[in-house]
Amino acid sequence: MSVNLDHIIRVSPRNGQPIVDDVSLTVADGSFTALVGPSGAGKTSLLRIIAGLDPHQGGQVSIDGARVDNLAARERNIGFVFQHYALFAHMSVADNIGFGLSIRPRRTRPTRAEIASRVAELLDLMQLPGVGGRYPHQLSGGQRQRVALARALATGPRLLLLDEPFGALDPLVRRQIRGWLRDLHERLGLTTILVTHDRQEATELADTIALMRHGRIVQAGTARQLEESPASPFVMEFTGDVIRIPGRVEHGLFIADMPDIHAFATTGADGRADVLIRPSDIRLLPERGGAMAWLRQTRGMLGTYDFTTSVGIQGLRFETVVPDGAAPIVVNCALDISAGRIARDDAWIQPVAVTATAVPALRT
Amino acid sequence: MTALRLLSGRFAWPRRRDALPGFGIGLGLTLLWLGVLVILPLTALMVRPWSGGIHDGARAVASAMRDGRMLAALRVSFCSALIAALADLVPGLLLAWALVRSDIPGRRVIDMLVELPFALPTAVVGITMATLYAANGWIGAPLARMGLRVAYTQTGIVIALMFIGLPFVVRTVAPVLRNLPRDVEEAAEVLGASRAQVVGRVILPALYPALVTAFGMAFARGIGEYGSVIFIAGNQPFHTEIAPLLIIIRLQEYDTRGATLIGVVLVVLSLLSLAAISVLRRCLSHAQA
Repeated sequence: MSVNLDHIIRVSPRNGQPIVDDVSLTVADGSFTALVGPSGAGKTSLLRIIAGLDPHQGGQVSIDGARVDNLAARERNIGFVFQHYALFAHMSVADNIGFGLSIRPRRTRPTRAEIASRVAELLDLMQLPGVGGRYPHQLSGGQRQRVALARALATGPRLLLLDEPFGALDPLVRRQIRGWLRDLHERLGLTTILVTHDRQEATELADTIALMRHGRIVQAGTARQLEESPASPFVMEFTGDVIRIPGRVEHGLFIADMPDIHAFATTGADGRADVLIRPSDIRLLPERGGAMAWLRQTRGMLGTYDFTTSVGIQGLRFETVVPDGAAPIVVNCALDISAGRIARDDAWIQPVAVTATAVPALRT
Repeated sequence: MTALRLLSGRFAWPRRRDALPGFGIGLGLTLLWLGVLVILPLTALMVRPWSGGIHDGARAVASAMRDGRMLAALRVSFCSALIAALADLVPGLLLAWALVRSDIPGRRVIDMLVELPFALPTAVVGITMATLYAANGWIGAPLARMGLRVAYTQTGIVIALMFIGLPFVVRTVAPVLRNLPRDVEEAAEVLGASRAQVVGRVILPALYPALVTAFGMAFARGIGEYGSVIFIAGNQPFHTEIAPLLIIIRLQEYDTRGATLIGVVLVVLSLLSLAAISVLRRCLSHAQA
């Protein structure tokens, strides 16, 4: 089932601040979408609006083209997995999973035997054999999470919403469940929306990533799109390691504040600016400047450099490709950062500097 | 020397350090206190009827068992306490709910007032209630016109006990309700449960152990309650005379043994009731460690 969010607005009932600020997003049928962003970005709020757990003050939510704004949460037939599982502590695992079926009105309620077989089927799907008679407090975190998922799937929902489902699990279990969830999604083909603050988790699981900040979607696309053409410095910093090098644009050149960094051509207007660059894109240029780079450790093709400039005690530490035949200590070197992007006030001042040519470093 | 080390090795305290400083001494003092203040008097009470020899005691017990007035008083006490404790559960739960979940104005004041029955001298409560519910009182008069008599009947006793027992229910249920995670309710809602189903199948079952505890406390208090009851009860032998009052009456008649026997029966029955409640609570909460 596809989900369409059209200019959704939700303001905090406490202080009137916008929590979700004019968000529009389309989630394709059968896709796995991740809402990613730092805490307080409005990801969970958006998910709760889709589920009908929180009201919204503007815009509309449609599922499969039909508006659902006026439907209560219980009428939407959506599966929701809560961050802290929210299992019913006084019910056995089987009763937890069968709850959604057992509360249906008499004429649509499956028989006891049908519910039991559905529960058994789901326990099997979740790889939880033989825990049906146990109580939630007797299970491990990973097991509880899968019971919560089974409970959400029991009623055959048209949409599955996951609110930071791995937040409370240890890293190893987290990785296992992640892979297993991806398999499950491929098997069931159920449209799924996942909320997480972990970009790696989002990259591994989702086809589409919607990056949120301050209640807005900053950029939506595949993990590769976000990484390769980030819409803003925030997206770039969120999607991978970034080194920020302050400097200025002057007469069509970016000049770093640090010496021994080669200036490169840009089309931006003059003024203060930062270069944001992935460390692996930094190039070390031996015999082209006055700085010293000290190779602290290597990892395959990559090495961690401590870069110290000739003037003052300014330094950078970054991990990048080790040039062929490089000595552990490179003297008289400079840095080429022309593969980076130039940012000013949280926005790019120009598109990618593809054809920038390195010019000799200007001593300041 | 070796033997000493062996001994100290065998009887050494567990190595694990407890967070509470001076736990050993504290526990010892507590047990001593419990012994002197609770177990010793109770034992004395139990032993007292047999002070004149086994035969003498047995005869006294046998005659007491045929004492209709005593049995009637015990029945009045237990039945009233039972009904009052059960009847307290509904308003107690509602009050706890209102205090925890709603933002009604004056919530804090109500929260404070809940404890008032603990603080008031029970005689004040009893006299006030008797005045209110008397046939010419503020509440009693309209009720009397409808043909309902409250003061000087068992209904009056139950109402007095309800007043005394209500704080137990509110104070026991409110914290459990407050700690009940909201997402559990939301989970039920998303799964298609109506408000009634959420309350009936998710919230109430989670509160059952607390409700049983609350019932037990209100019930136990109700059995022993004296001051607030005697003014509204009318104290007619065989009808509205409660067991604690009969103890006083027996004492005033210099029938110490009779008074003691009622005390013994009260203690035994109370212990049995509390044990039953404890078992019930454990059954209900086995799923929630």
